[in-house]
Amino acid sequence: MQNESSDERYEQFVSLFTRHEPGLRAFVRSLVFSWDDANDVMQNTGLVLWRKFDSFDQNTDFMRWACVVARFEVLSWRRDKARDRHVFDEDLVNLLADEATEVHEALSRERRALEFCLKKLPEKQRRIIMAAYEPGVRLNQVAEALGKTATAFYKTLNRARKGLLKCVESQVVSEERGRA
Amino acid sequence: MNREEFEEVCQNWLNGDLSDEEFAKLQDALRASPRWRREFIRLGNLDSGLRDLVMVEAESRGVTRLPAMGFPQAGFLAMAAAITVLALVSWSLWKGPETETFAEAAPRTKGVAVITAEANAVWEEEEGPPIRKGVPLEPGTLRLTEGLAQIDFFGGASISLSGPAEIELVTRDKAVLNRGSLKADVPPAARGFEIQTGDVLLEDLGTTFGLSVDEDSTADLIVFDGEVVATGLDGKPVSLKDGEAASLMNGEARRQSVSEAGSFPDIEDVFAGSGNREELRYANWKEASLMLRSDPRLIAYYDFENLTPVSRRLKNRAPTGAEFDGGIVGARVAEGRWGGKTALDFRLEGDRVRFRIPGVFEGLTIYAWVRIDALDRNLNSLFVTDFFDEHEIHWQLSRKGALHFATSPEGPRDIGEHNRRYYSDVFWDPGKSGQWFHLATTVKMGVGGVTHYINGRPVGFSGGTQMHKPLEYLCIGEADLGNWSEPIWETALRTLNGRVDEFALFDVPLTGEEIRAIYEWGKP
Repeated sequence: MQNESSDERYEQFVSLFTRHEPGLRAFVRSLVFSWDDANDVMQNTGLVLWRKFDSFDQNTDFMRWACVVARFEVLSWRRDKARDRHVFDEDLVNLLADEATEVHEALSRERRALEFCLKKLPEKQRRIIMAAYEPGVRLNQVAEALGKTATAFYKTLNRARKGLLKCVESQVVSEERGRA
Repeated sequence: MNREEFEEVCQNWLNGDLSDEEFAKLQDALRASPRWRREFIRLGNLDSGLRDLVMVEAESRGVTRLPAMGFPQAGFLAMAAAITVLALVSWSLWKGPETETFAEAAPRTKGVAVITAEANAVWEEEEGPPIRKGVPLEPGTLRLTEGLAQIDFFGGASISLSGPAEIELVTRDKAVLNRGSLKADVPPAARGFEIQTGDVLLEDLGTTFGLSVDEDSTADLIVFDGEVVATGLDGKPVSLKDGEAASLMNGEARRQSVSEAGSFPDIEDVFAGSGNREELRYANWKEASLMLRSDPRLIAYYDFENLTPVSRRLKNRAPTGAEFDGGIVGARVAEGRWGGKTALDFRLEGDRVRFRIPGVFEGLTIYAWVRIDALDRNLNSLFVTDFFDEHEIHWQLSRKGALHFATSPEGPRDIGEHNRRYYSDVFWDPGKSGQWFHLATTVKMGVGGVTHYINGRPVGFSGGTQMHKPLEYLCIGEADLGNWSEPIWETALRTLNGRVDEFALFDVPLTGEEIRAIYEWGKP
């Protein structure tokens, strides 16, 4: 629309960005090594998205557009960091980003099923997940606080994640059947 | 690399614990196989989703944000702040309740505990938020006149309380039992949970115990499992282990034999009794709902009963008949206010129920039972007409948590000048996520004829525009429940995030008493 005032644009941006932020963060998460890296990239991505929002064609998918911007943010971030340990090579970033953009709707359905699946997890695994994902904690400290050896802790944590992956998958499948 | 190795390396990646060699192997594996790339991405997606989920949960417990330690939204907030500055510099058009910035901190619940099950429970109602299942309880005193209730503390401990009882919730890890009996279940994660009675402090070391306090403040304690430390006024701690009991009197804890301790309510008893009350309330509502169907003032009435996953038609139960049936698009069948009652769940961009209701109305009541899961958008649709043409109505929820009614005699033309908008007082915050609300708006023509009701009570206005201008008549036409099909702005998403299990439209403003009665027979 041509006559939209600037604050309507802003409102649209906020509404779109807020809606897609979890998906975008998940997208970035799969392209970098750690959460600190992901947060760095997300911060820039948000700003760039807003600066470029005028060039976004409103008849197209915001998430796809945002994934393109985020991918370039990851690439330019990795150029600064390339000498650090554990930065994916550029070709791999592109491969992963292609794939993640392609399936972003399925990923979003899996995230939505997560709350339900977390509730269904065995109590012991659920507690471990809750503790491990508490904002700001370090995993080795969590293991210590729970009085577990690191090996036992990681074992349970990994098992819990695997269980969750299975559950969200079956949830999404049954959800799709229910909608047919 | 075989599958097992691949999985292990992926998990190590998430745990931030990857050797150089493993990292190189991971890169090779991902390059080699599209299927492994897909799995890797799903795992990253899971990692991100879990972070979001646990953060919401942590915030509801009042856990402070730690931006310096990689809090996932730290970047986002900094960005929001930067945008706010940019926007303020760029424009003078900064205004209004609909242009809230997302730099605004989300309201945080002050709750310390929540009632998770009840059996014939009767609470002494006090000022403040209602005491019922699912509602976060803030620090304060609860009086259970009769029945049983299970209360989960946000710190992780759970108690079943048997009435008559009086308990003071102090923090998410501490309570004072003044009267009545309870059984506490304290998992290891909630170790340190404290209950005080009279002058004795019980510190729980991860256990199950029963406690009962008489009128004269003497108390019996029995430890079923684990360990409890009881400290009296004399400061001498008495440690009690499995199967040991004590009497607490005059600020002193004294061992006694188990047979002297009384009986204690059990969590199983609470669940066993909770079904009956729910069935009863559901049956009462059904009866009232059948009566309502024949009300000649109804434009349309939808009870959302007996929906199945293949239902594509939402039946109008009012005398106006099938012409006003709604068409279900996307929205899924889910549980309503009671077990067995069906509702529609709205969540995805496409979810909606379509209506076509022609006519001109010189009065209106619109009400719905709504479970709000989140208010994601600046405006969230309850019932929204397609083009907001002349005299058409929009009934929505604002991001801040207010009910919003709008209509404009000129439609979207010169909207700023003509749009009559009425924002109710804010009634919702994320702490109320998942609760059912009765939302109603009655409209009389002329000036000052709009009244919002939340759970049967009229509320005031927190804002609006052109409220001094009169209303002549109202139209509906083509409209959506839970969405907006034809937004004036192409990208204005207004999908509801929640459930609806009853919806009605009347061609007159009902009285406050009538709205109250509808709430009373429908409350969960």
